[in-house]
Amino acid sequence: MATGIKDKVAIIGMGCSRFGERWDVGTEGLLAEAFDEALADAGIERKQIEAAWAGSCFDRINVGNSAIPAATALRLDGIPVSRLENMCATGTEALRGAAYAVASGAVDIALAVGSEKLKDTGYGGLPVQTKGTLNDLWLPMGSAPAGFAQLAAGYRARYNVDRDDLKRAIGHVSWKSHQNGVHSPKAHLRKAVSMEAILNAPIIAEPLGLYDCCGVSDGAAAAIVTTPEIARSLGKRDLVTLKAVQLSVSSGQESTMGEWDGSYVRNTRNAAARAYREAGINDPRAQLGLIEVHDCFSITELVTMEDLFLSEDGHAVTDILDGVYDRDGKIPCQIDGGLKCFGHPIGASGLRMAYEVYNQLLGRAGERQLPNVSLGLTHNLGGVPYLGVAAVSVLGLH
Amino acid sequence: MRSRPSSAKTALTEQYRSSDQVYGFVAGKCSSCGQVQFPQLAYCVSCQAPASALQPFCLAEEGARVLTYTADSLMFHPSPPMYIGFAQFDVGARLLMEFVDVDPAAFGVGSRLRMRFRIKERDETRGYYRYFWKAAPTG
Repeated sequence: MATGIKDKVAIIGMGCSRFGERWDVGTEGLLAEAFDEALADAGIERKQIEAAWAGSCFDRINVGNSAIPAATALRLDGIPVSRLENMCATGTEALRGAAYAVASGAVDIALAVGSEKLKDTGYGGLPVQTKGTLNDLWLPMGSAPAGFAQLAAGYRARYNVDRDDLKRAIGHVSWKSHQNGVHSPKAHLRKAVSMEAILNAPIIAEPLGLYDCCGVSDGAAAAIVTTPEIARSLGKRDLVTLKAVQLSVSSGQESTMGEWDGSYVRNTRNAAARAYREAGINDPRAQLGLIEVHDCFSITELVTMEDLFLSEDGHAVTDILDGVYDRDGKIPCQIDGGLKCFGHPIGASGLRMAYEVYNQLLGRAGERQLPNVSLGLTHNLGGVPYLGVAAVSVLGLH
Repeated sequence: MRSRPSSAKTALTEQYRSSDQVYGFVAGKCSSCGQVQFPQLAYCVSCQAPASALQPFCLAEEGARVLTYTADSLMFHPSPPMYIGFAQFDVGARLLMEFVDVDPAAFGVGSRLRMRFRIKERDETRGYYRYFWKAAPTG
């Protein structure tokens, strides 16, 4: 019977580039920034890495397709390197690949790296992609905010929430992330914004306004993983181990049939339930010290609080307005600013979330440091709420 | 609002293969579990029966209601904003559709819908219009 990966894989080094409009470097430079930091943190040499997983989503505006560009950029000579893509959940997929390789015993030390270079397109938001030859013939071509705004309509209808009440709650989600982002030196947007500005911003996809949408950024993040035993032999004392990494992908049910009513993300619920089981968590609200979730849009973060079983169904609006997920709340969320303010270079985001949780666990988060953190969660979403990918990881002290 | 995206080059072989689905709005009704579904893929979305179990079922005249929607002001649309969301058919099918002829004051979750055959996109490379079905309020 499968036993999962709990405590079988330790993270011994992590790195993260500065996110933002990085006109100064190309993808190779971003990868190197994250990689150099991870390597120094791990205290190992490049040649000790035996395999790597490199994630990026928009290959045509990054270094290109396949694993070759990442292997070339980082001079990973002659070892197995895989390039992977799972939309915005790509970063966690890279971590999952590296972790599984270590857990299986196939390699001793593996690298996960994710990157994205969106600003070189000269295009605001994400480039429009083909959705496949058949889908392109019938699927309406809406924007990403329009895809996630469906959650607002579904949530309001299910729980009979007034538009202005929902607007205030999702406004608070972004307000809190802007407050937090100020304290993240590597974040894309480091500016506090008033609730008034958030609520009065131009509408992008009803009811989502400008500040309900995250920024898209250039950036890269990396993790080096090994077994706890090897980590100890390398002289590591405080160990962060993976307690769970779980994934759930749509098979078309939500978008084609069934019970889904637009008020939640089924994949997140699937992945969270499995991750809690794998990690041995039975009361996530009491046990999780911080969470980094996929706040591509403020409404996504709101429903995610219920999908991760932290707020009871229908109670996320009041929990958010009560400050449960604020920096000084019961479960601090997006302490580094989240996608909203740290930024969202697609292929790097899952690893950026892990980077913050890792640093918080090790007490190295500087002025963002939270007291007494022993368990943290990352939630990384790809695609759209009704047809997508959800990845949930739990990291903790060993 | 974004600029108009560069026109995709239609896969004509796919258009030929899927012409019943795309132009006739022909969904599949599973003879094993009864689920009506669009598009028709290799297996039933509900019971995973093979495609041979799917019987043609036209959605063009079927009643539906709005399950979720938004007004998208970001994506290019010739008559912005673009109304987009899930149409829930009374027969059980569900798909993401563009909503047209919308009166914002009278439109919302639960609004009744009827199907309309409309221009979807112009293939500028080949110089022709592609069509698909959009949903309009019945009111």
